[in-house]
Amino acid sequence: MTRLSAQDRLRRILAIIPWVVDKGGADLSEIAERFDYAENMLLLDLENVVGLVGVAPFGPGDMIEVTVDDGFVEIGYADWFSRPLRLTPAELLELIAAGKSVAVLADQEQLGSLERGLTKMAVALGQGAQEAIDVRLGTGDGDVLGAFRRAGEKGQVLSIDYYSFGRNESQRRQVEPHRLFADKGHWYAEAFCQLRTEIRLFRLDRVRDFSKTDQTFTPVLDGAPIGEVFPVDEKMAEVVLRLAPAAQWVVGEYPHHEATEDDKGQWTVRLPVASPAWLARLLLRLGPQVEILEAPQELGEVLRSKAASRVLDRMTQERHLSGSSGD
Amino acid sequence: MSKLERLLNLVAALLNTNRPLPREELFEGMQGAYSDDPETARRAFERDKDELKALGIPIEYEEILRGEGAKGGYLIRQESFSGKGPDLAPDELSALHVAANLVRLRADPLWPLGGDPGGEDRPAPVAELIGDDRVANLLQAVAERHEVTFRYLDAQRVLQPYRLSFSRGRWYLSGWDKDRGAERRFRVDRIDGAVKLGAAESFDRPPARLESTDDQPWRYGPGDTIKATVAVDAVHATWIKNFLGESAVKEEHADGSLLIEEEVVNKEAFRSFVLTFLDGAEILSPPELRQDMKDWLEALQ
Repeated sequence: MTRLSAQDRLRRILAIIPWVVDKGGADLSEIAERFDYAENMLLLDLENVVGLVGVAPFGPGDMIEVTVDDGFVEIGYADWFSRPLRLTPAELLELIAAGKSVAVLADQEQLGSLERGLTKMAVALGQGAQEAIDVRLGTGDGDVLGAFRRAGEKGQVLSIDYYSFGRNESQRRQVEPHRLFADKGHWYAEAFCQLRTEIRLFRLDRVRDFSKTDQTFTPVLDGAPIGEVFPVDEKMAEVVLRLAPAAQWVVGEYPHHEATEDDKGQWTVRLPVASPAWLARLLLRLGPQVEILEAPQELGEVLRSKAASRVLDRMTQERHLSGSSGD
Repeated sequence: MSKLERLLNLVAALLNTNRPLPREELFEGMQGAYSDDPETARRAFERDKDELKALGIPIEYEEILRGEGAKGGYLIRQESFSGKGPDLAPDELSALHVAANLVRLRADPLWPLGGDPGGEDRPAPVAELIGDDRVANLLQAVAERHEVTFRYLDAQRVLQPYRLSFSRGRWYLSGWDKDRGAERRFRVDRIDGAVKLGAAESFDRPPARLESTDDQPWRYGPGDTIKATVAVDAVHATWIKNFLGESAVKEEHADGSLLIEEEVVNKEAFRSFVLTFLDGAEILSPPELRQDMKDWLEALQ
């Protein structure tokens, strides 16, 4: 159960009072569950706080009356709070954003409920509201996302065909998905990889194919914080690059150890190298906008020139030019 | 008196009146909720007022005309405090609560609609959607149609915000740029400093979306549009289909490789995109784009 701040409690109390009044009373446990309020905390707040609330001159008829009898809550004399707080337009829009962003995770049945709910929200917000917000948490196939989510909930081992960006190759492996999250425009699963026998991060748009297996595992749902996806490993090789002003985006995009800007707007940045293939891509994309100042021999000019030659080799093999003729 | 009790009493007092209550009268009625020292009490009250407003509680300030010593007071109007929300069925309410939990909104805004009927099963969050105050401000601006003023790339902008979109891990704002007389799009994380909101309901949203939904960087910029075809190896096929959409696929070969077609305006951006596949993709046409790629790579050999 989350710890609630005074504000969180206030929001909930203002919603609980009209709900209980409207129903003519409710079980303490049901209120606690519905409003995500620890039961003992709720009891304390109802008896010791809400029961003392009122208006001047605080006579018997000016105060809220709360009775809790054998776990059943009744609330009276709460006229000012008898109707729930309205949802603000910003809250409606925020909910539309939330709904749109996770629609891709929902199964068919949930999706119907979600879409109906979203439509009602948009109608409440007025003309053009559906289009006023658009959220795409990451690129990825809804089937893959759904499969990882369900496998994580049910503790079912998945067999996946996974493309490793670092090694530039595809491999079949068995994984136990524990947690799913989106960060910086991509969906990830944190999963135990039976091939590597350790917890690894899998980017879901690189899962080429998947199938369920009969194997099971015990799911761990720990609600760990959503943090940086790319931990900077102290053991990683490093390169120092000088970037032209046009290549400044690199500084914002990748984790780095040092970055300084000179008076001409050029950046010098020390980057940990996630994999040679990653660095090769970066160097080819930047072209003359980057100068390699320091690098282990195999990651410097040699890497860049070899990578450029490999792509050129492909381009000069005539068979590719036929394109549509098939093999 | 606990903070929760003080805040509840304050809301009750402001709802219970049908005329604006001057601060002193409010303090007197609330019997010891605020300090006897007027300055301490005033500061505490201002903090409470800001917190309540942040929760969407509409506290209003009104001038009270009393001859020459005119001053003001506070109240909450019942009709703006509560209002009929969308009428949701239990399954719809549940689905929205799940969504609000999954993306970890600042606070689940759904409590006033009667709590969460599926409350025993709350999912762990998968993303944090609104971590930034500017985004929260802009949500309000878009929802309530406030004109906004902010600094961006060292220039002052005045915008009618039509739309917020989240893509590649970033928020973008688009709308009508009044000084430039055109629709413009901004990266929210590059807005310099705070966003100022003007009056609510100051413009109408356009009937249909003006800009296209996709935002591939090579489709924008000055210059003409050319059609480019690219051969992509099987190993990247699934990814690229998801990324560009099926409509970009012109041919799918037996070995799983693809031929894709894209409209290109910004050639540099497109070259950069194709190079992320290293030797797993190749520009086939038009000849100028293909030659440009060769020249680029030859210089790096």
